[in-house]
Amino acid sequence: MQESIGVKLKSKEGEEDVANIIEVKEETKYKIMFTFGVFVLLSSLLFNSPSEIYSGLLNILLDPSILVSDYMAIGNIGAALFNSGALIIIAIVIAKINRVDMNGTTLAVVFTVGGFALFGKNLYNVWSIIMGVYLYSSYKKEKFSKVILIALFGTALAPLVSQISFGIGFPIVQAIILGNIFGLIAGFVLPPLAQHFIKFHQGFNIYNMGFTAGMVGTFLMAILRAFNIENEKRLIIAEGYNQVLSIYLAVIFASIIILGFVLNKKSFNGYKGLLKRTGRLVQDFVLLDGFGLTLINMGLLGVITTGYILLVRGQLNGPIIGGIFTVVGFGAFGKHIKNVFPVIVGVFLSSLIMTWDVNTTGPLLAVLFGTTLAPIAGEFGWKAGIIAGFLHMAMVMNIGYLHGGVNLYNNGFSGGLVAAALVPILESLKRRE
Amino acid sequence: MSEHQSRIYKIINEITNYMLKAGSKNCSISIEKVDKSVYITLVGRSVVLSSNEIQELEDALSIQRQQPVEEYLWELAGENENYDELNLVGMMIDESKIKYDDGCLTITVIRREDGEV
Repeated sequence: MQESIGVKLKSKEGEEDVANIIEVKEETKYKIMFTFGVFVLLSSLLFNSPSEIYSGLLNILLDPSILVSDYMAIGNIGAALFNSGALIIIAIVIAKINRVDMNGTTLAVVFTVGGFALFGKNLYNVWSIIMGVYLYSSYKKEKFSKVILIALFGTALAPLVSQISFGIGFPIVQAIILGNIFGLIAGFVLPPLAQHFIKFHQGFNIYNMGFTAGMVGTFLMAILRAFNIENEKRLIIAEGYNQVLSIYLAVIFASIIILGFVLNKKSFNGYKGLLKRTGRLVQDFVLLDGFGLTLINMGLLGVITTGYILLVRGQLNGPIIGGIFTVVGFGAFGKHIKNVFPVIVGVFLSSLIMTWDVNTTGPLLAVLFGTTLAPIAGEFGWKAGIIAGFLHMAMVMNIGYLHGGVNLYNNGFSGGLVAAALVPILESLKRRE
Repeated sequence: MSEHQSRIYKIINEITNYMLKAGSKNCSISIEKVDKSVYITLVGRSVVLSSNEIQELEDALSIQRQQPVEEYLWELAGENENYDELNLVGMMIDESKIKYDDGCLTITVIRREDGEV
């Protein structure tokens, strides 16, 4: 081939389009995300009065918060949304202060924090983990901005802080101190472990931090059990709010799609290309396909996952909406409607023949968070995706005991194990073909 | 920076894998340190690539450096020959230069130790 392509220097921000994508200014992206956070925060007033939100928030802050603790039941809907909106805004402000781009990973982490703030993360229990990661960066003489994703994703272990503080019956002052010491330790060890464990599943488990936090939670829980401290199983969920919450979600996802459509020059151009991506880490849709197209993908994922919950007559509540928000967030970093579908089908089919009912909380969470294995469908095809969903369903219902419910990303923990076992087999079969 | 050298190996692994997959029969690697920057140049001969593939390579390596993503996922680079992580390499470097002429592909990437956020 006789072809000559000259030297091309890597561009600075705004100087050049990458892959002919439609660029959106960082400032605009931040404003959009900030508006979303404020909307969630203020929407709390649609459901409860300020005094109800205040008392509900107190209940949330003093709750052990291990899996599964629905803040819409422990506090109320307004308090849960207030907590979620506040943490979304805090995550955005932390990212902004540290001059981190609002790319796919940042969108994913903001939505994940916001989602889990409906059932496990709150304005009390996230700080010591973030501080632990900060101490690690100081110890390594690195900028905190470099480990900001790990700090925010790492709040998966926030229930560890709350459980020790309020759930094991120690005198309150000692319990709060001990809880936050555990939080600091967890945060401090997360960065090197998160980097290392990515190799375990080869990037096929999108919730890498889920696997990491699962391992850390398992070790810390083993230490607590060695001192005869045990977490009781928990399942506190709200029911009966499907109508109002489905309207609420419809407004959010319709707005996201319309906004994405407008930012993508009033078109869906490029979406077919996005659907061709496998989703395996590292595929940042904002950088590769543009912010507008990514918003369209996120909104569509929200519609599909909400539709599934309503279709199987599940209940919309804190954990389920948290799962939907997380899927939507990772619509910027690996998930799209084509690669999540086989995994959803796999989990659905398995719940028909396994011992669990399809529309109870565990299987519904498995469907939503099981999409962490979407890259397997993207890389190896829909059959592999269904098998992954099937295995995930069986695995995720068994591993919660290991970390005693202190790792909120239980499905990410399970996804790591499934991917690590399944991918080498699929690879070897692929080679044989 | 800690693991700076390990990250350089990873980048080289990834680009070498790309060269070999592109059919390179002769590949040379040079590493040059200048102050706090490392210049990595790989030259592959007998490489067969279409204009689209060259464009994809350019697009991947011209992604702006993303240190938070690098810090979280850098160990995935150059890890598995079956998958490419050029997007991740793009997030780990500050500048890239690509030249493709008569089957000879030259890729130069520049990585600053401190980077910028």
